[in-house]
Amino acid sequence: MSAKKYHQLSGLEDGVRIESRVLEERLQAAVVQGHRNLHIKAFGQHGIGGRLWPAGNEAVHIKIDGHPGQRVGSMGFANTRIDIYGPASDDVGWLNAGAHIVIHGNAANGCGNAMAQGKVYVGGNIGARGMTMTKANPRFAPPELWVLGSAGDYFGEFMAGGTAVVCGHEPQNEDNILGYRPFVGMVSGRVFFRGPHDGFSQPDARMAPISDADWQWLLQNMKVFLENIHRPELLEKFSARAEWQLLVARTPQEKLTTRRRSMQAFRTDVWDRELGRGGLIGDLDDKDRDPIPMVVSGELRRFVPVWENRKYAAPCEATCPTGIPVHERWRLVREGRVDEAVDLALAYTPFPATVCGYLCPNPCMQSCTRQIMAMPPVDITQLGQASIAATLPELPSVTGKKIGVIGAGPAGISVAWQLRQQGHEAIIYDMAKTLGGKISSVIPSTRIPKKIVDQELARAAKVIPHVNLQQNLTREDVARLREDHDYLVLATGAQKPRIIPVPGKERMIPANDFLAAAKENQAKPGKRVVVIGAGNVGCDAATEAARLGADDLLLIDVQEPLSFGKEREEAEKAGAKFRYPCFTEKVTAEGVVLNTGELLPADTVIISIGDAPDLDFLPDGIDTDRGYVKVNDHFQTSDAKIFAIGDLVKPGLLTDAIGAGRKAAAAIGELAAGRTPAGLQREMIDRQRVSLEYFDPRIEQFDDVDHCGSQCSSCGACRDCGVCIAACPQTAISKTEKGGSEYEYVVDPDKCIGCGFCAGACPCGVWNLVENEPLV
Amino acid sequence: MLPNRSITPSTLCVKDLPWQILWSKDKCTLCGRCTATCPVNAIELGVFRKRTLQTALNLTGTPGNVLAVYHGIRQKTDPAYACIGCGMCNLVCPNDAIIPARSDEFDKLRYHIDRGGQPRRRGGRRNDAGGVLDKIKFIRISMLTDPALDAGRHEFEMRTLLGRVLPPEKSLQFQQENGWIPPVREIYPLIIGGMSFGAMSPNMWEGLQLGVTYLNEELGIPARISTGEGGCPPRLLKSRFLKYVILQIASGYFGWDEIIHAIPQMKEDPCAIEIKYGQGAKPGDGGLLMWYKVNKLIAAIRGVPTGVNLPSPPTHQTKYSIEESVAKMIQSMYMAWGFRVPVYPKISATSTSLAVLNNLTRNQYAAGLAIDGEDGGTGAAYNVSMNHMGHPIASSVRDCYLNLVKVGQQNEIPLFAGGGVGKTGNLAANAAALIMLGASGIQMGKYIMQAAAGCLGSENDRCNICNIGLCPKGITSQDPRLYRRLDVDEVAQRVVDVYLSFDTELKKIVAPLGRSTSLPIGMSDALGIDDAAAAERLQIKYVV
Amino acid sequence: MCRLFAITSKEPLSPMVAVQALDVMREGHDGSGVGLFLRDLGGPFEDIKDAPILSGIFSDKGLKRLDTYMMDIGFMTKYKLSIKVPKKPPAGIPRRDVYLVRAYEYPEDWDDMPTAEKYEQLVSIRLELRRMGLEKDDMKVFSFWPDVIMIKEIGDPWKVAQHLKLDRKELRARVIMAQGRQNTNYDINLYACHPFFLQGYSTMTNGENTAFVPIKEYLMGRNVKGYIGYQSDSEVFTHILHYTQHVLGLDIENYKHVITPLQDADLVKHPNGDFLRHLKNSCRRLIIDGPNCVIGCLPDHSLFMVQDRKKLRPGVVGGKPGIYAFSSEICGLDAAIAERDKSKDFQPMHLDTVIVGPDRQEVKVCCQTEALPHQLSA
Repeated sequence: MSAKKYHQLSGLEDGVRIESRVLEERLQAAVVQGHRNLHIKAFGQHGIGGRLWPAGNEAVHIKIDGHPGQRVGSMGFANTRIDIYGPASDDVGWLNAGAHIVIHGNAANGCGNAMAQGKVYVGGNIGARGMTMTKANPRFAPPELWVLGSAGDYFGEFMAGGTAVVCGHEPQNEDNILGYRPFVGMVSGRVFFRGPHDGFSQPDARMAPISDADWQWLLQNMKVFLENIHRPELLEKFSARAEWQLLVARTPQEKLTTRRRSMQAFRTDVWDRELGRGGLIGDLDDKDRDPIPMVVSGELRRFVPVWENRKYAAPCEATCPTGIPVHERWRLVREGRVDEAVDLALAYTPFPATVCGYLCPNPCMQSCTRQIMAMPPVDITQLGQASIAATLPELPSVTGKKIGVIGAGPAGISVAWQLRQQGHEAIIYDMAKTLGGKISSVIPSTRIPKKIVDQELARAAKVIPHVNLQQNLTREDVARLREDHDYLVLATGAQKPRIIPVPGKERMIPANDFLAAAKENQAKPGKRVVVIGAGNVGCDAATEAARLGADDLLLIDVQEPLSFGKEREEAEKAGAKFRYPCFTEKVTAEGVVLNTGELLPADTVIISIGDAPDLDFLPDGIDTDRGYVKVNDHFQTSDAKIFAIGDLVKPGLLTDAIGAGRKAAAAIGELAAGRTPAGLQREMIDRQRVSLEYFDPRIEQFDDVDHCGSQCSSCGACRDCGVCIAACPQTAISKTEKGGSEYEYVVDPDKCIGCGFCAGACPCGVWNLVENEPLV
Repeated sequence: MLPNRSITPSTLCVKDLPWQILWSKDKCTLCGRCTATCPVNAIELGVFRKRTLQTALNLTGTPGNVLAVYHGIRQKTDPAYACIGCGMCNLVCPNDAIIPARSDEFDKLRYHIDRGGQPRRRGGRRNDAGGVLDKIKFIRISMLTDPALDAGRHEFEMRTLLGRVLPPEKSLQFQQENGWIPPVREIYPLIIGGMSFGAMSPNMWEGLQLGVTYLNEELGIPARISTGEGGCPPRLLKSRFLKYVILQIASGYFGWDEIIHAIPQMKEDPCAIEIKYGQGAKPGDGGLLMWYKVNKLIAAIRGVPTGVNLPSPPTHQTKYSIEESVAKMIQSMYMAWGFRVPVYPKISATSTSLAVLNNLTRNQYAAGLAIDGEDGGTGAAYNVSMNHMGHPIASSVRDCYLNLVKVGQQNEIPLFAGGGVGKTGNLAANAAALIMLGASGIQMGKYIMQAAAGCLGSENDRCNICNIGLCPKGITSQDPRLYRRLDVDEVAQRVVDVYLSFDTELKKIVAPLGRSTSLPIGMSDALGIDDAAAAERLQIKYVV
Repeated sequence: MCRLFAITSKEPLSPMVAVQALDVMREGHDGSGVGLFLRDLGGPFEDIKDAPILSGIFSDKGLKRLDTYMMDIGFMTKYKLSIKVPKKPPAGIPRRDVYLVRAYEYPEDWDDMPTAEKYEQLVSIRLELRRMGLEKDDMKVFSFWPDVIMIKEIGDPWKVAQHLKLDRKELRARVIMAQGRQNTNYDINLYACHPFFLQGYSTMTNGENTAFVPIKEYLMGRNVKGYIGYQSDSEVFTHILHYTQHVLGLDIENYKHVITPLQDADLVKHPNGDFLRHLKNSCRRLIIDGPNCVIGCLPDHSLFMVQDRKKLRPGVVGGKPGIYAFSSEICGLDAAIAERDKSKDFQPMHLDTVIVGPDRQEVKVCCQTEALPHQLSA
């Protein structure tokens, strides 16, 4: 067939538009029939001229006039050349796979969209989104789009290959031949253009110099382009190399290089420059606000360990009415200074053996931290009993102050003992024949060997030489004594037995009378003894009665008996029985008759419901309350010169009386020196600070004082064990010797992070973790 | 320690606490970092006794036992030192030997943290995870005549207006007649809500401000930040950065004398004035800055003596009704800057929000309404207020918006929604949902604290100690030992990161809906929810 | 995407010119409907320019109700073009009784009524008729306005035109807008068919209006009669145009500033920046989000085309003095006005509004960044 003869196809049939499908079928059929030159009169049909593979390698030429629809030449093959004589609708050359398409006029949107090979020549302007999503397959020559005029908006979006040339000749918009926002997302390819533009996607594309090779390529191909669109005369105009610019896609590596100003630079260059040095609050606060790590030392620590050695009293010391620092004695024991441990007691009590070793219920042991943890408390009685050997410290010379002490019982002896140790003279007055009050006169010798009491009384007598016994003092006497001494201390105890006012009350023997008589072996109880009042004194009476021959012992009480400890044990051992509640109606020769009518047969009835102080001798001006003398914290009465201690003030234990004596003596000492007396007592340590886990919980009893000492946790006082040094992860703790036996554990603030391990590990609870000083 | 102690009603065991410290003896190196870092001293070094039986096979010889001591981390059970689950111990542990774990049941601590008769107070967030915002989906994917937009390719103008916008007729008329046209700011729809200098540490506050300034000056994102009620450092007041700042005035008026003094020296007007009437996290309650946070610096900025409690009353004392309140305050605040700065109130979301809004529609100066929902966070509030008071933001905003639609003023008074936006991390999705329900913009607080400073709080009652100045991240503390843990630049950088990623996510939401050139305010046809009641209430589509 | 075609010609043309252009572009529409807007009429309507013309589709019953109603309010028929169609329509086209184009004489008592008020009344009557029609499904009223005819039907445009015999010589107009629909509504509702008309303003649009709900809600809050309907999301474009010009009194150059305002940075540079910023703020809810190509006709018979900001639907305008056409595709334009300087064809870009005025002498291109011709105030 002649190359010049064109096979005619029309989009109109009988004046009616045929469907795109029909035109396509006819066109394909014509090619199959061998037509290689086709002339299409289009009427809006879609996709004309693409997909002509039936022609194989033979060239096919499609001429289109009329009004072609969208996607002319889509999926075109390399064998195809299409000439459109007039403008073209959208998407010319869509997915072009090699066709050569020439538009003799404008093209609309999407010109060359997604084309991978071939060429599209536009002899006018193009609409929006030209040359978008193009490809460049290494197997083929890359696609080309040539535009005589200008490109519309969003040109070259996602362009991924090929070359676009925009000549800028008679553009639609003379100010901008590349349209709005071109080359967004462009990843590959290049664009030659000639004329003004209004910017492009800087992150995706960049301008590049036109190399000689580029220029040669452009010139050569320009000539072809212009010939194709029948505008060869423009070649000269387009040959001014300086008018051309080249734009290429940035490589991924180049895209990464778009950097923002660092925040630090912004702060320095912009922020601080506008606000001033130190930023927002540099004018108000010059403190360092630079970042710090979470684990810090020195002044940046939130917490600081403090070695609070002896800041708090150990529970034993705090609960001992006498105030003996028991744990300190165990420390001395641990240090091998048993003698000093023994002697130390005499600074607090004249009766360390008698009381601590035998007669005291030992509140120190009851409160022992170990006891709270269900471990046996450290046994102070061992150390107490050893104290019989304690040696007296040297007494100071006398000051000249004279203090009268009325009563030579434990309270009176304690206050005199303490006063003398301060250097004051104490003069004791008592009705009894001997020193010691109840200790020597009432307490059964079963409870304590007489030898011990005698030995300690003898030691006390050495300290207190001025003792006036068998003095029955009247009110007038006491008033006189008040004038004769700097201070007067009343320690007369509770002497008057309480008797219940029932018929036959005269038949009841007061317990103290009975005990005193028993002590002298003068008491003669019958076989059947009823003790009214089942407290400890009652128990003592029962025990003594048994010793003296009674064999039917009954203790009655209106409530559950309060007796406890050794006294109760002894009485039970002696066969005593306890009954309550029993209310006595009367006492007859047969025994005790209860309000129920029951008779409790008794040969002897002992009354043991307590004693009351005898206040008849009190001078005027001393207030009392419910039968006791009223005192303040320092045992001072309402007469500032007169103090009162012991059972005269409040019934209590021996140690209470001794402690009262000590406190009163301290107060007198202060007053005598012209100072206001302060309390002796330190706050007790929080037992939770003590770690008993270091001690063997399976110990049931202690072999000796050394064993005792080893098991004392030394609450609140450093054991010098060095656990803290070992526990500190920062090696911040060290021990400093301060001369003699004194030492101190110190913390290096530059190392310490305030973790509190020292406090957690310390067996004694000496270390505390406190908040660091506020920084602002 | 006294395991065999007597008990009190408030004697608790570790199991009773909300958080249990899991500690591994094998891994622990006893370095002390955890105990040094724990903000509430919930852990300490413990001494433990270990007994081992020693018996021979076949029972030969005499069986014996050996006692030994070891040391390790022990959790305190005193309610005052209960672990708060912050996890700082784990953060500093070199061997990952320690971590707090949430109790598997209701804790018993809650019955004992009112000792002394003081109900529990705390900072942080409402202990209720989830909420309706997370359930809202964007269902109107543009698939019709236009394929969905490309968030990366298209241009987006995600801006909103803050200010009283005149209706078009009036705007044209006033332009011709030189009438007063209220000031309007075009800003980014994500605002950092009011968190005061004082509630926040200096480093946190500066980090936020620095980040916001960077966004504006380096990236062209007109982000804004509200000062909260604690004044504003004079340097900021006198700088050009003030234009990025919304000054808040609340019932305590803290710092306002300093602001007034600075007005003559201001280079720029502030973005806006926010009058705080309420806060979602503590409805009906005022703020309270405790004395130990009121150091010299805070005192200087707030214009108060140091070391005193600074309570903000729940109400402005000289306002006798909301109508009066709004009128008076708005007038005064406009006057201060010569009617050049938009002034708007912020209220707690409430079933009476509509009444406030209706009042505002009739006040020609009202520049907007910020509504704070129940899920907001706070530096200090009563537990009961935070957990049980308040109104969800979604329906409050929706009601208000639809009311504006009814009166045709939806463009005139912008609504700003806050309180729980992004509480489960879905900031952009929650924000977009609120915008499509009718909000013009979003205020965030907790989210930025978490994202920009690593706040450890959660809706499971983790940490929540903002109120006692011990914030382990240094966000809400005035103690340099804590707040210096926070690097100002890093916070600022995170603010920038948050905005940039929010911006991308917002685009990823609006682009498929076919929106890019204007914020889709009130585009409720895009929303769906699989909860029929919520759908009906919010007037959006019910989808399953 | 629907196909749009509009033409303005010094000489009255048959609507078939537009239908044929649509036929050329038929790959873009799916036969779901055609809408025609004719104005500046020729033929028998030439002499009755002032008479309001009612366009619609009526059942026989509906026609009776119409007559009763119109007589009641005093309107007398002046001229009518009742398009009777075969009982059996071609496939795809519904059976109708009457396509009505009827010019009325104003009631006598309207003689002294100012024109503006007359026009308000015309809108009211149309809305009432529409309401009545919806009530009994017997009338569909598209327009009631002097010198305006609207014809809408479901079906392929070409077939509809044949069926309705639109090539009849009585139908001639100097301004014609036509749309071949590609239906995106779930039901095919004639009221959803473009172009839309209100009080002299008409637009047609292709594309989806994703901001439809907020815009609709805003328009409905303006208290303007006629802002109802919204069977199509594109109807708002007509109303925004009406609002911009009729209510706010702004020129067509401002329309694009309302629907697709410039961004902040561009406003700063714009000679009318302040004015436009206020306009943008106060009309913010009317911002469309595209992608849309809008072609419209103003009361003065100008035709215009705008593109949305982001996407750019295809669209082209071309022609020669005396005749210009706007078309979705170049082939449509080509088919309608083959003889023209094709190199002068203009494809509007994202900032452009193109206008052909009533004199039909040139294509005026307004770039949004340029100064406004008549600004209301400084």
